[in-house]
Amino acid sequence: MRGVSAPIGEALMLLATITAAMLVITALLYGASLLGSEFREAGARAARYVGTSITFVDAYVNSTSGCHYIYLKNTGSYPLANISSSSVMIGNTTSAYLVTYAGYNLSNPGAGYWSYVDIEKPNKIWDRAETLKLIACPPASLTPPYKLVLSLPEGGTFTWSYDG
Amino acid sequence: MGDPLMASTAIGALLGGIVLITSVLIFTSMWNTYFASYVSSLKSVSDKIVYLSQSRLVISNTTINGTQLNIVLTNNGSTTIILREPGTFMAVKCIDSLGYVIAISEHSYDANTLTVDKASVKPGESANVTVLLDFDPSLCSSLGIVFVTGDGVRAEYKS
Repeated sequence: MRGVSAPIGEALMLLATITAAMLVITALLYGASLLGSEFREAGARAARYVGTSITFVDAYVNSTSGCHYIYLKNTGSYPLANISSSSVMIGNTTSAYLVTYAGYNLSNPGAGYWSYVDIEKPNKIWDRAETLKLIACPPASLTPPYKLVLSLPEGGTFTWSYDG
Repeated sequence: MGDPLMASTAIGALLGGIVLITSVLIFTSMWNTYFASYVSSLKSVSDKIVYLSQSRLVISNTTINGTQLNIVLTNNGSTTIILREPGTFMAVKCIDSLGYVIAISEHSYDANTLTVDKASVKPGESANVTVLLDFDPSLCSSLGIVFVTGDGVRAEYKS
C-alpha cells in the first residue's frame, strides 16, 4: 500500500502548491487591477487640477442693484461643468459674504445670491477659452477694493481683487 | 519521481518569480499611466505660462463713429498673438461722470459681433478691431475697454 500512496501524496502536494500559487496570482492580479484603476483616476485628477486655470477679464458694479458683474475666462486645459455647485464669496478687505446660487443667466439674482452665464456658447459648460459672466450680489453694500473667491466643485480655489 | 519537497519548492519558486516579475511590470505600468497624464498636463501649463509671459497686447488707438468703435491693437510682446480664435472677447463699458458703469456692450468672435482684420499679430504689428456698441457712446463720460484673446492675452484701455 505504501508504494501506491507515496506517489499520490507527492501528486497532491504538487497540486496543492500549484493551486496555492494560482490563488496568490489571481489575488495579486485582482488587487493590481483595482490599484491600476485608482492610479489612473488619481493621475487624471492630478492632471486636471494642474490644468485648471481661470483668468480675470474685467468687472464692474451696478450702482443701483449693488450686483457685481465679473467676466472670467477659462484658460485651462479642460472644460468645466457643474459651475452651479461652486462656492462664491464676495467681499472686500473688511467683510466677506458667501452668496447662494440662484439660477442660470439671471441679470439680477437678488441680494445674497449669484448667477452665471457662459457667453460664447450658453450651454452651462464652461468650455476652454470661453468667457463666463458671474453676477454676484452681496447682501450688503461694499466699498472697493472688492474681492471675489471662486471655489470650483472639482477642486481649485481662485481669488481676485478689483475696483469695479 | 524524486524528492517531492524539492519539486514543490522548485515549482513554488518558479511561480513566485513569475508573480514578482508580473508585479513589477504592473506597478511600472500603473506608475507610467499616472505620471504620463500628470507630466503632459504640467507641460501644457508650462507652455502656456511661457506664451503669456512673452505676450503683451496694448490698445494703441480708438476711434468712434456713431455706435461703431474701432480699436487698434499693437503687439508689444515677443511672440505672435492669435486674435481670431474661439473665445476672443471684448467688453466696452459706458462710464458716467460719477464713475459709475451705466451700460456695457459685450462682443465675441464666436458670435460674430467682433471683427478683426488679422488672424494674428506678430511682434511690433497692429490689428484693427471693430464692434458696434449696444449703447450711444455720446451719453458716456468715458469708455472702459477690455479685449482678451481665447488664450487669455488681455489688453485694457480707459478713455
